[in-house]
Amino acid sequence: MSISLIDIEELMPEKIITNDYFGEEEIRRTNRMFSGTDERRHIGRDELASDYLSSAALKLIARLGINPASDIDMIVTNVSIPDEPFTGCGAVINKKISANAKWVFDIHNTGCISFLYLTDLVHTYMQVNKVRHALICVAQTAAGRIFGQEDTRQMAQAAIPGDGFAVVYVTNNSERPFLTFEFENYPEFSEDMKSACNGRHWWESRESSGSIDFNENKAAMIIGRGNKTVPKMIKKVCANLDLNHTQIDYLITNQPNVNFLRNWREAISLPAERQLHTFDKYANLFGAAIPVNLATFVKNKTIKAGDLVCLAGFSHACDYSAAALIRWT
Amino acid sequence: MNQMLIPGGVETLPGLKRVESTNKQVMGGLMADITHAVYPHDQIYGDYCPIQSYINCPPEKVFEYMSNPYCLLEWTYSMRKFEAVSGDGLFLGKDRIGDNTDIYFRVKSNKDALTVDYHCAWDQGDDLWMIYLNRIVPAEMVLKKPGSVIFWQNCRHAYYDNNPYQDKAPKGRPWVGQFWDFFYAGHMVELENLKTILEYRHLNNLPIGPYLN
Repeated sequence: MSISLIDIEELMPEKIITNDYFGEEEIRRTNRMFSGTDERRHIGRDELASDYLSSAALKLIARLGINPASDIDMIVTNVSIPDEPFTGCGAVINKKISANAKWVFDIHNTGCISFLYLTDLVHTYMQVNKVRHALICVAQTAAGRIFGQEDTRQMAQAAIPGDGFAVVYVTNNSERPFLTFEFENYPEFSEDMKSACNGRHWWESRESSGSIDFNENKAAMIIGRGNKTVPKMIKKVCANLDLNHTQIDYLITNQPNVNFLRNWREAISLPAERQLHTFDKYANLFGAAIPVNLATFVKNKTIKAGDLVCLAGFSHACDYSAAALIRWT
Repeated sequence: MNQMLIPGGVETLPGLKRVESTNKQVMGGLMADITHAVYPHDQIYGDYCPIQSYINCPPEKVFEYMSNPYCLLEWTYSMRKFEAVSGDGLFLGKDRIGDNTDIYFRVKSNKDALTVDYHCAWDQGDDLWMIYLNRIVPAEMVLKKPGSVIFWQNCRHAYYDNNPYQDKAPKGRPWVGQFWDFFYAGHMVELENLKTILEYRHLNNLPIGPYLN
């Protein structure tokens, strides 16, 4: 039984933030880990991920002419900085789009590669006939919510995250099936990315905003891990179908920085024009990068019928990595 | 005299590829298999970090310079403030890559072989396990031009992954092994420093240095 990607929609915050909004200009100019963006979007202070995701879902519903009350059995989400700490936003989306999904899961981990993990979760429910149609919702909100604060926006790393949202409608048929998946996780790297709150726990009251501990001392190791795992996962999915990785028409990965994009493309000898990303205008979209880019390049007709598209990436300090292949039809 | 191998000396060893057992066609296929368009960083620099460079400076001058412990003050990125610890060539300096990091080192060179090895360790000087192997080769011999070729190698010693001397490390200081994936990059930058210094002094007929106060 296959899981088919029926339709996909992205939605970006209207608030465009240009480079001059951030501090440490010298570092951003000279260090490629912090450069390469012209602008990025920020979610507004009073905006909700559930509103963005619901709006995108309603567009899909209208375009597909489906009935939300009967044609959505499952909603899964990954929201980097959730609207609410306890309840997640899957149930809120269920309400806002007048759906009646029986299975609703808000998955907090797997970050930048969450789209593929969520797809696999839905696929598993499909395989036991609990689900026919589902909405996969990925939201990156860390840019505005963490790096849009007065104190955190002064850091060079603040320029790198950008917010964005994407919703995918999937069905258990063979209309446009995911052809193969590969997943790996590395427990040994599970504690290498942490929040940084000036010595306070993130749930404790404090005078300064929290941020992400971008530890320069771990940078070499994390770059090494990412350089190794993502090409490896790409080659694994290709091998599953007896394909050579040079047969990929388009590669879409998460987009942490310009170096990783370059390294992954070089690692599989892919010409630059066959790597699709939006780093310059949307920056690091975390988990939303893969579905936002897929939607963007389907919408602008770069991806055409028959194209073999590889989706791949890793999360956090390389605790999870995955890849998938889909042929656009 | 035509020196022959003893029958049964090597042919019976499994896995050897020799013209007697592996014909040229099979060997050709094997070569094509092993030859890739690109090699992952980890595959090339994961366990060993070999780098090399041409330097337009005679081998004997390069040797003279590199075998002087104080040259490291000039061309390394971060080794500074040296003092001799003992009369037998052990030095103590600061590695400014780490906060408040002591680096012990000893230079072991061989003028005939044109090798200059730096045996180093952070935090303690009893076990100099971090070894930088350098071989200087006359460029006339290998490139048919004046100057030197330097081959610089590091091996990923087990201590890069696990520091057995943690009790001697400053609290919270990152371990040198965390930077292994940057060794290729860092060493290339330092080798470029070395090349720049030696070529400038040689081409301008200046004393080769290091220039000490």
